[in-house]
Amino acid sequence: MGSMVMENTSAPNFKICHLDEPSEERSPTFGVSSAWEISPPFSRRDDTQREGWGIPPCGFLLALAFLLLAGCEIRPLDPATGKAIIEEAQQAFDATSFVAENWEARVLPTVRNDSVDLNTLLAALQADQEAASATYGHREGTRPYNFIVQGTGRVLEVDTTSRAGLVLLDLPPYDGTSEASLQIGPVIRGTALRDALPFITFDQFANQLEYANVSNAMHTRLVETVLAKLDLQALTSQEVRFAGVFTFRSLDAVMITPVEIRVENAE
Amino acid sequence: MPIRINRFALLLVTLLLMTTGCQQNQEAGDTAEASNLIVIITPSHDNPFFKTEAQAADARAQELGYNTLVLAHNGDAALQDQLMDTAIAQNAAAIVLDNAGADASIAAVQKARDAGIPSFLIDREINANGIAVAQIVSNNYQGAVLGAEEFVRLMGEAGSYVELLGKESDTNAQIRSQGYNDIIGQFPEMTLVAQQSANWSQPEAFEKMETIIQAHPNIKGVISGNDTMALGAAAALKAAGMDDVIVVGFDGSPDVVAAIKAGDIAATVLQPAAQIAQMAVDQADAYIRTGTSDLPEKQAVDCELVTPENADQFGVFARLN
Repeated sequence: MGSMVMENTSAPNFKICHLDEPSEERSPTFGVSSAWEISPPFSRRDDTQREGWGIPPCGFLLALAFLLLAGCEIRPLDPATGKAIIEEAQQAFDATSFVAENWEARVLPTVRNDSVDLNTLLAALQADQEAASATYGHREGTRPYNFIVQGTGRVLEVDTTSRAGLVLLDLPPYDGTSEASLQIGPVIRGTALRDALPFITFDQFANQLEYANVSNAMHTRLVETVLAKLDLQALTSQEVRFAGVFTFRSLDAVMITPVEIRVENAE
Repeated sequence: MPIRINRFALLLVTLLLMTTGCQQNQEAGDTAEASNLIVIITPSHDNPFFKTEAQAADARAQELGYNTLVLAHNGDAALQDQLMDTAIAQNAAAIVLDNAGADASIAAVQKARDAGIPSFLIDREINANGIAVAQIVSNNYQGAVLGAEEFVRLMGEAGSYVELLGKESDTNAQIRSQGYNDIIGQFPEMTLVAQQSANWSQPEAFEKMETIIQAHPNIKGVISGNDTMALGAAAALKAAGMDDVIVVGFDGSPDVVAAIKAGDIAATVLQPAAQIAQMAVDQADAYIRTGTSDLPEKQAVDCELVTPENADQFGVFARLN
């Protein structure tokens, strides 16, 4: 089937006889799916078989073309996978695979490289929330801004009384009060990690369920690969370096979902 | 060999020619410029949520100088189909639709599109992208997470509870349930003893809750997929003398905000219904004038948690200014 997928250059929003071919298409598009398979005599053959087949008559080819298209109907393409949306395909969206494909390749590099220093950001938000949000933040539509940050802080307390565990941080200059917290799981609140990344948008997914599953799969991955490995007891009173994201609610409630935490002076 | 390639090329060209007919839906979109009518279709106005969104859309459209036709499909996909036919027959400039089922509504929206009429969906999605111009929904998952987190906190992260589900054909029922369970499921001392659908209905929730109470007299909480079911559950609990059971709803309806103030319901999640309806009309207006939309098709608007502490800050499906 692969060799028969054709791009219609005059109408880039359409794919023709698109069944199972992966695609780079990200925007919602239409596709035509057909229940028909191309049979071997008309697909590309290897050289050893070349002499073994006759040339089919032209009329037969036309009839076949009719047959191929008789089963066609217009389907939207799922932008996350590039496949036509059919019931099976839709249920088959696998958020865990989506996150696995993007985690090392895009999620971690974006958080590491596109961050702003937390102290710089908080000072800017304090001075002019709107301007600082526009400069450093990312959001979809009217939803709250999300920020990608990194910084240093001293651990005041490791609070695991709730399963949504938190590390309370004193930010420099150290005054013994907590200005921010780091989520350490195993329950991660909110959807900051998904929402802070500009390359993951609601528009890419068939519905809210898929979109929600992406956030959950990211949290599962984060807990398994980073947070579950933390030595929480060793964190208390230490100075830590972190990189992570948060959704802005107010300056009193800066709760960061970290993708990296390490003790600053531990060599 | 060269002959075979030519035959192949012929087949390709034939296929291309034959599929040009598949493009017409994409291009049908510019025949309704003469019309000044926006048709607003929602479920029954018996539920104040739908009444609010219909009224908000109607008011905004009239404010922008449009004639309006406000219709209700009562959750019936066949009736919705007839109403969409009405909108097409009236040559509407745009349709604002709160649809009657994520799968069942795809064909109806496609039909309007084929007739050159853009649809702007509010509140609920359809399971297809690229047919409606916009699908503007509450961020139901974010809202469900807010509600569930508050529920877990009020329950002290432990105890037996009941979940009332909405109508199965509605993506919002599934997404809220998933949001609830994604949060609550992470607390091993929380035990789900009953999970039943009451189809968004207050009397049905009352009856279901009466039965559940018989089997599980020691429940500590009820989390509901919407406010009308939360009201039904709270009434059944009150009738059984179980006033201290924690009830959390979803919608932010005026009745539930009042019940929160009275202490009968612990919390709800407010959906900005009026704002979403206005956004849809504004985007329809822009689309009618320019023939295009520069916004993403799928848009989510965040919900807010309503508790006894902040209940007086909320009006009819909106924060008071």
